[in-house]
Amino acid sequence: MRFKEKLKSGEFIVTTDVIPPKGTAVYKTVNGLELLKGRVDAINVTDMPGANMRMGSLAVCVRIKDMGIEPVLQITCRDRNRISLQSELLSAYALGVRNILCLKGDEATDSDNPGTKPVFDLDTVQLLSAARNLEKGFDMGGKRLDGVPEFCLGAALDPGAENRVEEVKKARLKVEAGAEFFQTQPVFDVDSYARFLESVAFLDIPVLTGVFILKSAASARFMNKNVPGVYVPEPIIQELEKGDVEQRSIDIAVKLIRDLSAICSGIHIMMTVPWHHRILQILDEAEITGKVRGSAGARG
Amino acid sequence: MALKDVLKSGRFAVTTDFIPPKGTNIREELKILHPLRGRVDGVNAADNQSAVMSLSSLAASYLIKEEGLEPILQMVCRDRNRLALQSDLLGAAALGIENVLVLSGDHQSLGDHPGAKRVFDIDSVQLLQVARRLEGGTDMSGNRLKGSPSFCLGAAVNPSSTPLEPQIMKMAKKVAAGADFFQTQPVFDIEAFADFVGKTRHLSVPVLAGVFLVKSAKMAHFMNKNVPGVTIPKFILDEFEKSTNPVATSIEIAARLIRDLRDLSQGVHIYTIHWEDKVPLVLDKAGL
Repeated sequence: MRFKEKLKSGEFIVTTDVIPPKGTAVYKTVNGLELLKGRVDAINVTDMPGANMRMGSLAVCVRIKDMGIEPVLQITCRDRNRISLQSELLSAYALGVRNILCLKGDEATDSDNPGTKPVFDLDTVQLLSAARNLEKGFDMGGKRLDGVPEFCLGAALDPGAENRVEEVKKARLKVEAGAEFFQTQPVFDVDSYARFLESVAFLDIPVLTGVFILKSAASARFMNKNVPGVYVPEPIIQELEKGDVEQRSIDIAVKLIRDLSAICSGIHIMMTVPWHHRILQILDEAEITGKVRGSAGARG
Repeated sequence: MALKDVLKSGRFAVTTDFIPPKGTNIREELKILHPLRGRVDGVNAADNQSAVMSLSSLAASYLIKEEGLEPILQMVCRDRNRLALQSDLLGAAALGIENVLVLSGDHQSLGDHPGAKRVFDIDSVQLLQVARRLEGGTDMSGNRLKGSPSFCLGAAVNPSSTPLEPQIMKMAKKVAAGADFFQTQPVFDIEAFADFVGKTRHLSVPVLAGVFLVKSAKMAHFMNKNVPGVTIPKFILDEFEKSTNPVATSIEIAARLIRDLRDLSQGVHIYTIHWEDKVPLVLDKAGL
């Protein structure tokens, strides 16, 4: 079943992401992804997180698609104007890449290429609308297209946003503009997340909840300090400090996924190291088999 | 043979262009290139030419390669910042695209998205330098790469520019920045082109002279009026006025230009504007 259809089916969704290489060593990025075939529904390819220059997302998506796994092209508004963004969307479709996650993009201030000009010609809502408009057969200039794409469009949702009212309002605009699913920042506090989900339940689209495989207590503390909207609770950090970090981080992820699977439509597994074998272990232990999990929170 | 090797071998090179569609129907449109297999050494994939939004040159290049032709990826500086430009250069390498033609890009007011933001974070000379830096294993800011690409880099020059000297200075800068070859704006005046060749010989870089397939007297008049740096001489206009078969006339004129350019340049770049299928006829007539 294609990712787009699975989103509609109400089955529990599992996605993850890869970060393209800084260089041409794309084999290192895609190496080991075969393991995930049949176990994840799609793999996101990030678009230069942290504004650090890396290989283009579309090129890596093509490689992943060739492996028989559905890619999700992440595309940000930071580096391209409306001509290039629409051009990229048409190209994605022409190369068989249908799933697009429309993002604003991290600020360029901490880029590893200092001096980079932030473009931000469009915002994410405009990008989503532009994609939907292409599907209707027109570009932003109102010109008719020769060959029309079809997309499955996603957008980001930040459950840790300081201003929740504002975040829900943005989410509504994204859905109105065409978002079919949301993907969230990493979640660690399931209770408070459950309350957040209630506030967006009226939007009635699948929410894939971010599950982060922690590397160490130190990296958790780093995230708390430096990643806006992400908060790893102290008990989890203390758990990691007890040693046997690998097993404990897996256990933490498994417990999160078990708890989340009762309240949301799916998960998006993130990590900073390519731990594909750990993903399999985590999915096994969390008993996520890719099959329908009862009626557990198909929406929300 | 790869374009890089053709240029090194000294054999007369022939390239042409393909303008990707405004839309997704590219596979159908690529069929027009089939007769060019084995006849041309490279096909340029235009990058949102004239600032008209269309399918990307990267996707088009990838598909041109799948069709069994050698793509030349055009990249303009108008629409992407340095992150996206470098990122797409690495992406091109991953998709097996080696030839890159670096351009500045037409102003967006000419196109169909006049409100688009002008990016121009870096210019075409910097983009050439950046591509060479990537080959050397670092990005523009000196960060190390894991795996470095290898490119055959092209740039543009207008041999009909008056005065010519600033254009030659720019060309020399592009050579210093890393250009392996040049494609020129359309050439109609052979004597003026010979003068340009004389004045740029010291740069010892292959130049593919632009040969434009003029389709009609009407088109020629339009270009003379609207395309800066292009002057189509009166005798060509007269030939069309007298002609009963404009397609044959167009092919004849282009073939004659190529014959005249053979001793002056290392090759030609044929601008077809959707007449890709006429290229083999032109080459036959030119004796190539």
